[in-house]
Amino acid sequence: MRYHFDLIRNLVQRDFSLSYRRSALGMLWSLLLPLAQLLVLVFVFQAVVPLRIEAYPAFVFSALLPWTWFSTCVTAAADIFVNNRDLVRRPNFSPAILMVVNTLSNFVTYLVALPILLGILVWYGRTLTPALLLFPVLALAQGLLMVGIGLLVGTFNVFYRDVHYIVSLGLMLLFYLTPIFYQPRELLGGYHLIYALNPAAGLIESYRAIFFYGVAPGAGQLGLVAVSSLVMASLGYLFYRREADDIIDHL
Amino acid sequence: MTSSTISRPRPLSASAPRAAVLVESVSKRFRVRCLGRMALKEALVGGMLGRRPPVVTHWALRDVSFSLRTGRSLGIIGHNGAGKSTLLRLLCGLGRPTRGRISCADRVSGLLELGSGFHPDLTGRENLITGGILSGLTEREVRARQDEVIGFAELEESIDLPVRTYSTGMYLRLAFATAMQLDPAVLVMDEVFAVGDARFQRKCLERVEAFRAAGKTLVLTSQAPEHVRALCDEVIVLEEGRVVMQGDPDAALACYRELLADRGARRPATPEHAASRPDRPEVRWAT
Repeated sequence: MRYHFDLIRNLVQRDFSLSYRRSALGMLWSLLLPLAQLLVLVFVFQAVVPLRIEAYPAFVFSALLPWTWFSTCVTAAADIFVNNRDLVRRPNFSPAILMVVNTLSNFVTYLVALPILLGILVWYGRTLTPALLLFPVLALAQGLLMVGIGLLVGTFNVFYRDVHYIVSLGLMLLFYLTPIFYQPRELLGGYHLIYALNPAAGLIESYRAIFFYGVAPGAGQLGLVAVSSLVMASLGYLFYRREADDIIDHL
Repeated sequence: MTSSTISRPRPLSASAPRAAVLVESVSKRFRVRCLGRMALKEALVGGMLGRRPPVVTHWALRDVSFSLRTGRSLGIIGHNGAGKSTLLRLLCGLGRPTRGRISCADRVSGLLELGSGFHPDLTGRENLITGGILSGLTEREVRARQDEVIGFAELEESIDLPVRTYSTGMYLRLAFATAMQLDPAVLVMDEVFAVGDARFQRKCLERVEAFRAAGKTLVLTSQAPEHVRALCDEVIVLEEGRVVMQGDPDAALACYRELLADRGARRPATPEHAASRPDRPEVRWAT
């Protein structure tokens, strides 16, 4: 237990210091990317095609941050076994740990950006409520979801490198199918099905509920988020376990 | 010990003393798909048409059996591609034998690829600590031992520089010292004595000697006859994945020399090529 804690902490630290070593702005880059995306979305949907959502920047940013965590994490997960061949082929090392490390080190970036989000919320006159205490629950659910998806795509990518491209494509589509820059109630007819099947949608909506609306998400929604995360995590882990020995032979 | 070639080692009797490592008719098959990795499209299309992708199978190990008592040390020799590394990797629990069974009484620790997991942009110290944790120590334990490790690697001055600035010798010294931190019951080493200059190599050998003297079990491969003779109680000769013989080091080395001579007769080295490059360094320690 103590050992795994040390191992994960050390690998997260390593991941983190490697990402920003030899870059002048370092950590700032991970903040600039979502901020730039925010500017674009605000420009398009407030000035070009107004969606008429009040406090739109705060509305978008409360969803954009968890989305950024999700997409950077899943993108990296696809290549993680392939890129860390050295570690995967080490005796007594369980490669699944790399997925946990990836999720956590991207979570740190999320945490660092969190004060900016709170600043924007206050600036636009949103009130911060005790609903925010649900943040760790949502983060845990999202973490499980991503470890599960990560194990799935990472394992597949060892055998079929196409997965790398499928993941980029899928994330691009998912960005538009997830209510990040629009409200889900604007969705018409059959599109609701896509929304219901998208595990990221309920999650993003829950984040928006606690940050932007200052209310706890409905029990039904929360339950759905928890169940889909657990199912995804178990699916990913089972699949990875079945293929673990082959991963080593194929790398 | 017998000097004749035996195809199969003696079966283990039920009353044998405690075996640290027990390998029972282990075979390992690798399948490599033709044309590199098959893309998803071909897999899907091929699957729908009921076509199997072309597969090249390669048996890296065939029906290998042996047992090793606690406190003994076993050498595995054979030419390149004989299956030595595959066998060691299986002993470390990397991958699963296609057939047969491997059981180890204690935790096995392996030095298979020195310096694997080192990152060039991180400093020697950072890599040392990560490496130590990866080989099974807690961070506190690694920090407690780091000075000893740095001293052993003789890198006091450059330990806080990025590893990419190191010479090959420095890199390997750090890798060996890092890997030896852990004190396992069974140690598996794949040609790791390629380290630094002759003096440092001697230091490494002494380290391994001390490990043996402490009653630990050792499995190693080496291309250097003097290391095999110095470190091993018994030796297995592998040829194309099969155990050709098992015996004491001298007999095994003699058998291995014969195999090499056979091989040389079948595939003669081109003398004119060798003569044209007399200054060519001997590459013995590919990593």
